[in-house]
Amino acid sequence: MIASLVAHEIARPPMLAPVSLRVDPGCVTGLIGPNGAGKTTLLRALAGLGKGPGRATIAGTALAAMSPAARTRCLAWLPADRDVAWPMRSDALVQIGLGPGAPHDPAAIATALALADATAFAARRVDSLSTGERARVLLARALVARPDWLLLDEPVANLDAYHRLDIMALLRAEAQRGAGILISLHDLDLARRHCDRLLLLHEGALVADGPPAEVLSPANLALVFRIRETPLGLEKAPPV
Amino acid sequence: MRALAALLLCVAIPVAAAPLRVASLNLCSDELALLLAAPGQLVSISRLGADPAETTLAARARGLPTNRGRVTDVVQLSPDLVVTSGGDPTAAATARRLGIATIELPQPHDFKALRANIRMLSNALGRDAVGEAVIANMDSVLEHPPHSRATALLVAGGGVTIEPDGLAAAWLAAAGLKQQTVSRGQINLEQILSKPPQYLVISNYRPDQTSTNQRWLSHPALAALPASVRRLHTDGRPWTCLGPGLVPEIVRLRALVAATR
Amino acid sequence: MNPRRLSLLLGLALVPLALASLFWDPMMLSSVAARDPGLARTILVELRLPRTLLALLIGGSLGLGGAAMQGLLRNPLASPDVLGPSTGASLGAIIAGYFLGGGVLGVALGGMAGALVALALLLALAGRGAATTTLVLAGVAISALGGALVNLALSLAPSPYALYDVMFWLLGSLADRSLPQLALAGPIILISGGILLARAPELDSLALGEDVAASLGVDIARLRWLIVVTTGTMVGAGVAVAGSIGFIGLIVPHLIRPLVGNRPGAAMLPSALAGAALLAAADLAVRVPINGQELKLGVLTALIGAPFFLWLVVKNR
Repeated sequence: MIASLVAHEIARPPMLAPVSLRVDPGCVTGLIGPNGAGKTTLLRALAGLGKGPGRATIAGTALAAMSPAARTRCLAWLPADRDVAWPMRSDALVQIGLGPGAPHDPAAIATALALADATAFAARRVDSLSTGERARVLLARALVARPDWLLLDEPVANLDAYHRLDIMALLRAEAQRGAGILISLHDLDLARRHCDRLLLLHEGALVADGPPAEVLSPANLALVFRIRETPLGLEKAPPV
Repeated sequence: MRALAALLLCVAIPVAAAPLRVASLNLCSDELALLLAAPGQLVSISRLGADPAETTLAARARGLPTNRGRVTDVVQLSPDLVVTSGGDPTAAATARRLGIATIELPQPHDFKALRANIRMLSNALGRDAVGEAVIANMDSVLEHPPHSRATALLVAGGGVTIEPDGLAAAWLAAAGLKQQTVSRGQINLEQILSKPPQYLVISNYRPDQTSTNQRWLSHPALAALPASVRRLHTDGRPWTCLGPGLVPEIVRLRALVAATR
Repeated sequence: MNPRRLSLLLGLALVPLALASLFWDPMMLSSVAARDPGLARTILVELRLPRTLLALLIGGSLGLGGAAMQGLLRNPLASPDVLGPSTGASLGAIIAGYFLGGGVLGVALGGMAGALVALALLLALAGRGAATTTLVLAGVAISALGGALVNLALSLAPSPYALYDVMFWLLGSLADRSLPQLALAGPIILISGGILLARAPELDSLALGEDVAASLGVDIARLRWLIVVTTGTMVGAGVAVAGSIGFIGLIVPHLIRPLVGNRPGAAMLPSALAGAALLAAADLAVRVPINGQELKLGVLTALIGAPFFLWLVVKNR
């Protein structure tokens, strides 16, 4: 049984007002908000990175207090930037996700690459891949240890329409095996259709938390995102 | 050509009265000047010439103002003769431009050149007799070289050694020692061990100073040379300028060689 | 290539190099042995053995230190012998040896302290994910400052003899080194190198950035500190014994990394072995006299390394 991820009064000056919340495993939780709302900062804090007041715990244990091996099994964090310092092969890159010093595990690597639909890139150098292809290899890196928790910062950015849906389906499957999924998203349509719960951040504060239909209310769309829904799709809202 | 230059120099110096305010700018001219000048004739020598770690004649320099080898250091002493020997190549020209009589002592490569240097300076100082006495003292050692010519290697820290055909080797020959053929002024321990000389003449120069070169002399491989290699120690200071200051050292080495053969 | 197999191959390549270094000029050695076996033994034990082992150890420490710094800083231009630590070590050794009158141990300690200060300064200026430009500029500035201070120390040299001595030593050489020097630098390099090699897996995860590595449980602050201390002591001890030998730490990881799939951690052990092989080979090459003199080792490595550095700059442009 996977324990919930609990945030205690996390504040990261100057960005984040104190946030306390609890994210449960077995469902896909989306983190939404305009640019600069604090999504990345909150995800980092929940992954045990960065310094500041408050802390994140899983089953009462802070991530920093876990051994590297336990930490790798417990949680994987995927940053939004896709930089890789060295032109390594994709499979070697995925191996990193098993943790420093972990034995080479070709089966786990193959599975993770297959899940991210990146099997074809296994033997290719990451610098020869397109941004979206590299994003899928990096997602496989986060998946390879099959951690309890996946904290993914914009995992579908740069992906084509097919792979966006493919990745969302993959995350749903991971949630169904019991994992906890927390992802930040800019695609509100995907957020509405594929998340069980949404957290809305605005100017460093958590302003809404609930089912997608509730969080993506016309009032929130207008106030936070400055857009409105029309039968033809989203459009800019007139200035208030 | 050089003789002509020397002649012209001599002409340029007032012959009527010997110079009374002589400044020397380099170690080797210091050594000759300290040997040849009359008391009070010198007004300045180089820093090295007054350094007991650099020259055996430092005691004679006591109380003399020192310079850093530049004409500007001595010009306020209003010298009437400046002597140089190497160092800053523009110093002599600068001194002449200021209207100061100047002597440049070339680096001697044989005894003939060394005698010529001594004569040139003693003449300029108005001390010909002293110069001839110094030369006579030197020649008394050189005239009757020992018959034995044992092979030798003169080394200082770091393997610095001397050319087998230069003035230093000629001095060594006067002690009955024949400098081994070496390449380019430096030798490594392997070369010494692979072809050990009969005499290893260790030149002690600033032995108290810690340095990589000094440590070289205490390398265990040198200590492992067979007993058949005789070790002699020599004062390293007079070997810098190879002037008449070497005479007592050569006499001492000659006696040591004669005693150990 | 599998890093283990590469390491094995490089390790095997060290054997003939070490033998060549030990038994260089067999004609001379056998003629000495025929005349006086004791002397031949002295040459082998007191001169060739420390020279050979120091070439392997110092070359290895430079290759390893370069691989570690490039991995830590995620930057192909980082290396202890180009970006300051070697200059710092020279300065420290000069101050300890010529101004404080330290012996062999003092010079080694001074070298290590100088390398550590320069390395810590480099990381403070250009540590956390700094751009290549920042790193290289900081390294060049530290090298220039170190070089200026070396020149200042030279102009304040206690005697012309010391000046000559230091300038010669700065050119770098392994000729006429002794067993006591090996006994001093050897353990320092082996222990530091061992500690550093044990961190290789953590360097692999740094390829994805410090945050991902931290999220995988790597203690970045500790790793950084560890690499600074071990690289600094290794390089410092090497410089104190052999003078400054440049460019090995820059070149070697570049030659090795493509062979191990560009994994920074996997490149460490092969880089150490290749560094050892390269310096041993260079030290063999300098023993062929040019115009009757041995070329200085540091001069040779710079002659090979500087054009390589230029090529690297052009390639990365």
